[in-house]
Amino acid sequence: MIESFRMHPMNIISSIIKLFKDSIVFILLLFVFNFRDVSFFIKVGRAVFLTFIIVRLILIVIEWSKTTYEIKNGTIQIKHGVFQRKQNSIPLQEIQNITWRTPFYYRWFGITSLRLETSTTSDTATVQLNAIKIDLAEQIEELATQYKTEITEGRDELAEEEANSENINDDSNSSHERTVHFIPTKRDVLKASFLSFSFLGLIPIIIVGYTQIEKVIDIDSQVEGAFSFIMSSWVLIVIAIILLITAAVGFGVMQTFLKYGKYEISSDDDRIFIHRGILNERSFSIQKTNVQAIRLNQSPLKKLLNFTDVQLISAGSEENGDDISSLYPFLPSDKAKGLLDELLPQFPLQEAVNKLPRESLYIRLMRIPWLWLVATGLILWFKKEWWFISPILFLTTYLSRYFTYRNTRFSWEGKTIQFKTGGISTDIFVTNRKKVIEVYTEQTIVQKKLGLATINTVNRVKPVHHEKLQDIPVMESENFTNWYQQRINEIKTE
Amino acid sequence: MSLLNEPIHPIAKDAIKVWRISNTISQIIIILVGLGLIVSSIYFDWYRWIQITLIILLAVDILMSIWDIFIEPTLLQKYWRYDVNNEYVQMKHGIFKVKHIIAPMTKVQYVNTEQGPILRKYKLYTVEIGTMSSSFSIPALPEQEALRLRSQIAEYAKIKEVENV
Repeated sequence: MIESFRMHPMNIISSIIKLFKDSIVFILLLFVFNFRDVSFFIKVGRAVFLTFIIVRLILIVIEWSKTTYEIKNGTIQIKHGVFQRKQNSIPLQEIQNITWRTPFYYRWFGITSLRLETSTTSDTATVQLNAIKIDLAEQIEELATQYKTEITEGRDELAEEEANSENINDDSNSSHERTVHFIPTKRDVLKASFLSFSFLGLIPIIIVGYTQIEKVIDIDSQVEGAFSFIMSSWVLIVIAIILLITAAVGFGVMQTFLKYGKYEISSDDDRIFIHRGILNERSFSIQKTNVQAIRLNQSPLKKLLNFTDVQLISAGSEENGDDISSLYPFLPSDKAKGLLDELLPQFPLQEAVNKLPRESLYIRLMRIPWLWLVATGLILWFKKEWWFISPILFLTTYLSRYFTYRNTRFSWEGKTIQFKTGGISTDIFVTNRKKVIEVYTEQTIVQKKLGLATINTVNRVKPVHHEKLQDIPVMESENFTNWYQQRINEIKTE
Repeated sequence: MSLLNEPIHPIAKDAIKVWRISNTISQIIIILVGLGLIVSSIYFDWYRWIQITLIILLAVDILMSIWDIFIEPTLLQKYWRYDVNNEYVQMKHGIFKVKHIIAPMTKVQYVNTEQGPILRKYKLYTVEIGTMSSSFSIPALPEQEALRLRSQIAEYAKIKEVENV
């Protein structure tokens, strides 16, 4: 139980920063670009804008003081609204993901932002605590996770346990011990930084910086001077290029280290914790039972460096509303399987064995290459001299079709189903029968002639995730529906 | 182990008439709008290529309407199958692409019946079944069957499975 509290006053400052960030266009328009313009229109605009800002500033402070949070009887209660009081309560047991974000300047004040997510789709389903003291955040997290375990341990004792839950916290800590499963080595991160291409991020910064400085000093003529100086000697050219590359690589390595350097994947009995970041810390925790499926993704470059991106598909992970959150994008492939076995034993990974039949290749080659047709049409119409793009596109389309056919594997054994697809990149999708909430098969007339069908699984996220496997033999698609039907034997009903 | 049976229940024969009427109405509207556009394109002297495109589109639509009104309803009705038991809702339909949906009864969240003016004329109902992922409807069922199905699904769907174990 946590007494009614407000957000840390730092929230006001970050709201104000956000307000100015959002209205930057107006500020530039009214006060910078038209600085000398004193026309009536601009004057009115300035007056309106200033009033708006003042009203907003006052409202920010009032809103902050009128928004209170309270945790009691296993629910978070939020009271907010200036003129119209609103109350929103969310049961702690519904909370599935917890995300901490601590920008570096937040750490100076000992605060953090906390986001609690439930699996419901409505917008009142998420609690965003923008700025709270770190110890308070810890308490809230403790309560949210604690409550969940109490529920699973015994529903009947709940009422009694609620009353003295503080004492129990200490006792039942044994089941909450976190095991650290993965910390990347320096070598991993170094390898990852070359791959992440983040050094390309240097280019826009240079361009922006260049145009900024250009306004002040006439850089063009100076650069020209420097340029002709450099060009005058081969040695200097080589040195310049080396310097540039070192700078780019250094930038990339630094970026990757800041983001993925301090990284830790750990878990306790019912949650997975991901902690990352050196400057801006971020930690994310997800309930194991909330993971609906996993996906292992390897781009060609990642294959080369032997990395796998392990992704968890779950209801509402990450702040951008994405349903997929990465466990670690540069996981050494040989460690991936072991890690998943430890973290999520309900999704056993084994080599999928079933291949696609020959007919499947025929139908894939027969499908109309719309992209190529449209692109060729556009090229012929507008830019005839780019004709060579057309055959290249044609070749890549058909090669990728061939390789996708060759690399596709699928299997459903016991409770698990696995699709492996991808032409030059590889994509493995694993889920289990209980997590699949619907299946459907499709068969076009051509597929029917060739004895093929397409199967689809639907998993519950926010709202759903579809996964498709094209052109498997009809026999197998019937096996698939029969396999799904066995679901009835493994679910428990209330 | 109970193997999944292919769905066998067809929908009402009158569905053909219902679809025929509704498709005729929408085709008439489309053709009228198309004609209106062509007349005004000539009257207001629009670009030539606009006129030609409009005429081609209308011609294609008239050809399509033959399919829409005379052929499609019959085939749709012929291939529509559904099945409901205490474990699964199944639906199988489609002309060029046959789609077979299997949804567990424990995931069904609501069921309702709907009836528009044309359906009412033939005493038919559409049963809509909503799950977590989507909602599907079984179109054009005779009144008795629709109401029986609705209460049956409502009864079956009361059982919910334990989440997150």
